[in-house]
Amino acid sequence: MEKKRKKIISYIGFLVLGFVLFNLVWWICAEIFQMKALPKPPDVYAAYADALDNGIGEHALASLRRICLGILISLAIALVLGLVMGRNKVVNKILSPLIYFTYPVPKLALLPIVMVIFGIGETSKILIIVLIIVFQLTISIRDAVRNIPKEDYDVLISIKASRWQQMRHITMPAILPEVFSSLRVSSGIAISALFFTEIFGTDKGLGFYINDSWNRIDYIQMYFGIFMLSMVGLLIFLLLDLLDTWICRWKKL
Amino acid sequence: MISIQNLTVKYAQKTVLKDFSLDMNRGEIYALIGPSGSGKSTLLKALCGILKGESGRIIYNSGEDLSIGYVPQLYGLLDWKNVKDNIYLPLKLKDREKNEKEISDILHSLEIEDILNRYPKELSGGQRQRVALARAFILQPDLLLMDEPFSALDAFTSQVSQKLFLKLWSRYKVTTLFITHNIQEAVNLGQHILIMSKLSGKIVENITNDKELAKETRFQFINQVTESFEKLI
Repeated sequence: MEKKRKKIISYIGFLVLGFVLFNLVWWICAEIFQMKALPKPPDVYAAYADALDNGIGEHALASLRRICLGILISLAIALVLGLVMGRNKVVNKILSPLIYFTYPVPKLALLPIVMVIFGIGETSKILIIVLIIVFQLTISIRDAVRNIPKEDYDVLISIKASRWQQMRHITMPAILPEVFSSLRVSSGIAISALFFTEIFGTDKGLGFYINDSWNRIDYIQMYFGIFMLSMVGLLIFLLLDLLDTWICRWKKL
Repeated sequence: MISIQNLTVKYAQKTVLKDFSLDMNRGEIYALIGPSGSGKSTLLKALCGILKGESGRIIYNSGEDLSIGYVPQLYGLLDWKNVKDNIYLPLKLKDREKNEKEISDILHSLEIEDILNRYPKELSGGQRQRVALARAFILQPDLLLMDEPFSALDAFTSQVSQKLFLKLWSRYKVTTLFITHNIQEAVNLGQHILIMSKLSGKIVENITNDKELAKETRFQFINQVTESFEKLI
């Protein structure tokens, strides 16, 4: 129990240290450049009341909802594809070239087409996030499945476990650490993509808030929007860390 | 009687076993020794269904499906399940009811009742090996197959584990076929010592081990097995 408490304190300590360092670098840059376009951190944080009046909470929730949906839908698709491709050589041979062709296409360039097909509403915004992260999640999961040593299945095969039982008790738990690692990378990319998707066709979301403040040359609110976007990212990373620690507790023994 | 008849197995496009046959009496322990590459592990994997045989069959006198317990070389414990879940997994997968009394006896015989909540990474080599044995015994299989079950243990732990194995085995008398590179181990545990040839991939000697031998005669017996084995190397 004492060990656990120490771990939590150390984790929070490093988070605070990271936050302080981030602000320090920001402050130093602001002092060096002395520009309106790069305000100092205290000026930005002091504007929280205006940000609340502008409904920043609502904007942050709209963004969080889009990111979470995008990540969850991508994960569901990637799990199915990655597991099947990892376990079945024929399916892998058929689908791999398709993924390799489409993965490098810059998905943001497809935003206008997606908007024409699916409208400017929520669907196209979430779909772009899915299109951006689903490929790398799929490849990571497929590779994780393929990297499981064949011998790990031996005992289950010897008691004639079904393919589903092998998947449920070996494949899925074995790939979980890789899935979490890949989700962390994907979340960062999803947040970056979200900013662009929220510039168009919406008046809710941090992307809109940042762009709108920028258009009004309100740099303080623009930075507050950016700060909130990084807080949304932090929240997702913390959640992933928490789930990883809880679900994969065997990994850290 | 469990009878393996004309088993042929290919591995990596090479015929490792060709027309392999072996009859095993029920409730006896068979120690299989032989040079590396003679096909010992392939035989076990084929019997488990891990490798598919090209031809051949296993005949079991009850006519039922032969149930198998398998202890692989590195024990095959699942890191993400604690000891209890690892041991109970075969029952869960087979949808069999738990006989708590039997399970408790197995755990007690192997002296692992106190480590049920630990994860494999928290166990010593000897404990991991005993957990793997418990998992293999829990279904009370018709045939127990073990691939060098004691080889990764130090001499002392290996001795202790062998004693615990014999204690548990004597309760259930499961027909057992195990691979070893250690002649002493084969003599300690096996009622039959099978020597496999690398050239033919077949059993070239089946030596019956009289466990009641006096110490001096026992040394002679070990020498006899060693000589038979050395002829093949």
